[in-house]
Amino acid sequence: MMKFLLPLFVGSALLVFWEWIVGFLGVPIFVLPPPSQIAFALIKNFTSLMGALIVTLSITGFAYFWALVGGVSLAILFTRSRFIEMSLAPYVVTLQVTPVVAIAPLILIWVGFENTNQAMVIIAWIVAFFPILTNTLQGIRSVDGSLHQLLQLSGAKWWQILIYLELPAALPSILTGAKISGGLALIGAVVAEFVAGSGTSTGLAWRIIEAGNRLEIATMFAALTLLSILGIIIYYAHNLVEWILLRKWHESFN
Amino acid sequence: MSLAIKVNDLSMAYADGIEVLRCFTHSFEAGSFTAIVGPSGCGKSSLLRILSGLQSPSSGKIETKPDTSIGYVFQEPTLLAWRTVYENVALPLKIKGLNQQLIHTRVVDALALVGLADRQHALPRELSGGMKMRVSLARALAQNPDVLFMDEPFGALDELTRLKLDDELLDIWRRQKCTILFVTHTVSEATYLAERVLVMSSNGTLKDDIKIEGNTRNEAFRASTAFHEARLTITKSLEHNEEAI
Repeated sequence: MMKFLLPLFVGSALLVFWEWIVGFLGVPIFVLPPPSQIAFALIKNFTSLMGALIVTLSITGFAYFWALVGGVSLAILFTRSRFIEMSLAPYVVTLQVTPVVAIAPLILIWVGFENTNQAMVIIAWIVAFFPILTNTLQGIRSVDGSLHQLLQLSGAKWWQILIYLELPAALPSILTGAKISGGLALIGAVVAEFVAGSGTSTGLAWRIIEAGNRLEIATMFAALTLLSILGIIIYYAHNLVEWILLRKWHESFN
Repeated sequence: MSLAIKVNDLSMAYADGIEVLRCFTHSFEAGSFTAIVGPSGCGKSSLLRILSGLQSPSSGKIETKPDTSIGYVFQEPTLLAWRTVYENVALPLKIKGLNQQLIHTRVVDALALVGLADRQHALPRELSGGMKMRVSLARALAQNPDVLFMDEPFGALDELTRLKLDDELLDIWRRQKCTILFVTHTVSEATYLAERVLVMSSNGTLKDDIKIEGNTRNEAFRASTAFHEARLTITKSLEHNEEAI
C-alpha cells in the first residue's frame, strides 16, 4: 500500500508547491504555467490532443510490432546459421549505431512525403528493434546444453527444439527486450514526428513543437503529459504481460 | 546372454588434443547393471555421450542391436521449468510422434514407478531436489529404454535421499530388465548398485572390470563382508590410479 501512497503523496505535494510558487513568484504563463492551466489546456484541447495521441500511438504500435517480429525472427535466423549471422551482423550493428536522426531525412525522401506515416514507422522501428534482437539472441544462446542434448536424444527436429525449448527458455529475455523496445518505439515515434515536420505529422510530438512556436506552453505541457502517460502505460503493460506469462515458473517471480 | 552394446577400441580426443578415452573395449550384457567409476576427467561422461550417440568418437566401433531405444538421465534433473511434471515426462514421446493415448499410458506408468503419480500437475520449482531427479528418471523410463544411461544422477542429492533412490532404481531395474550404465564418483554407490564395476584410469583407459558377487541388495548386503571387500578392491584400484599420475 505504501508503494502506491508514497509516490501519490510526493506527486500531489509537488503539484501544490508548483501551483503556489508560480503564483508567488509571478512566473509568466509562457515560461512555466501552473498545473491548473495545464489541466485547463488539456480539457480545452481534449479532442485534438486525443487525435494526436492516437496518431503517435499507432506509429509506436506498428514500429513496436514489427520490431518484435523482426527482432525475434532475425535472432532465430542468426542462431540457426552461423554463416548468416557472420554475413549480416555487422550491418545490423551499423544500422543501430548510426544516429537515427541522421538517417531519418533520407528515409523520408525514399519513402516519399506522401507516405510520411510509413516513413515514421520505419524510423521508430530502427530505434526499437535492436534490443529485441540482442535479448532474444542472448536468451536462445543461454539455453542449458543438457536440455539441448535431451531433445537431441529424442530425435527432435530444429523447429521442435525451437518451439519446445529455445523460445520458451528465451521468453524472459525476449520480454526484457520487448520492454526496452516499447519505450524506444515511443522515443522513435517522437523523433520521427520532429523530423517529418510541419503539415505532414499530426501526432503529439508535432503538437508540442507547434504549441511551442505559438508560445502555448500550457498546451505543450498537456501534450507532454499525455506522452508520459503513454510511456508509463507501455512500461506497465509489459510488466503485466511478464507477470501473466512467467509468474508460475520463472525464478524472478519467486 | 545376449549383448546390449559391444564397444571395440573406442578412443576420443578433442580438437585441442586432449584425449579423454583411450582404446576402450568392453561388452555390456543385455539386462546388466554396470557402474563406471574413475577420477574426474577420465572420460566417464564422454563414454556415455558417445555410446548414446550424442557425440561421435575419434575412432573405434560400437555395435548395438538395431532399434535399441535409449534413456538418458543427466547429472542435473534437466527439467523444463515451464512444463508440468506430466508435460516434462511426455515431451520426448511427443517429439517422437507417439499418439496421445499411448503417451498418457506411458507417462502415468512411469510416474507411478518413481512414486510421483500424485504430482503430475506440479511445476518443477514446486518439487524437492530428489523429486526432480525422480521426474528425470521417469522421463527416461517412459521411453521404455533398452539401455538406460545415467551420468552421476544422484550426485547432488543428500545421502539419505540418494540411498533411497538407489534402492528404487534397483527395484525398477529388476522390473524393467533394461541395461543400465551408471556413472558415479561414489565407490559405495557403485558397489551397492552394480553387478560389474568398471574402473577407468586417469588417462582414459579401462583399468579394471570388477564383478560384484551376490544378487541381493539390501541393508544386509551393505553390512556384508562381500560388500566391503568389493568396495576395498575398487578403492584400491582407484588409488593405485592416483599414484600413477
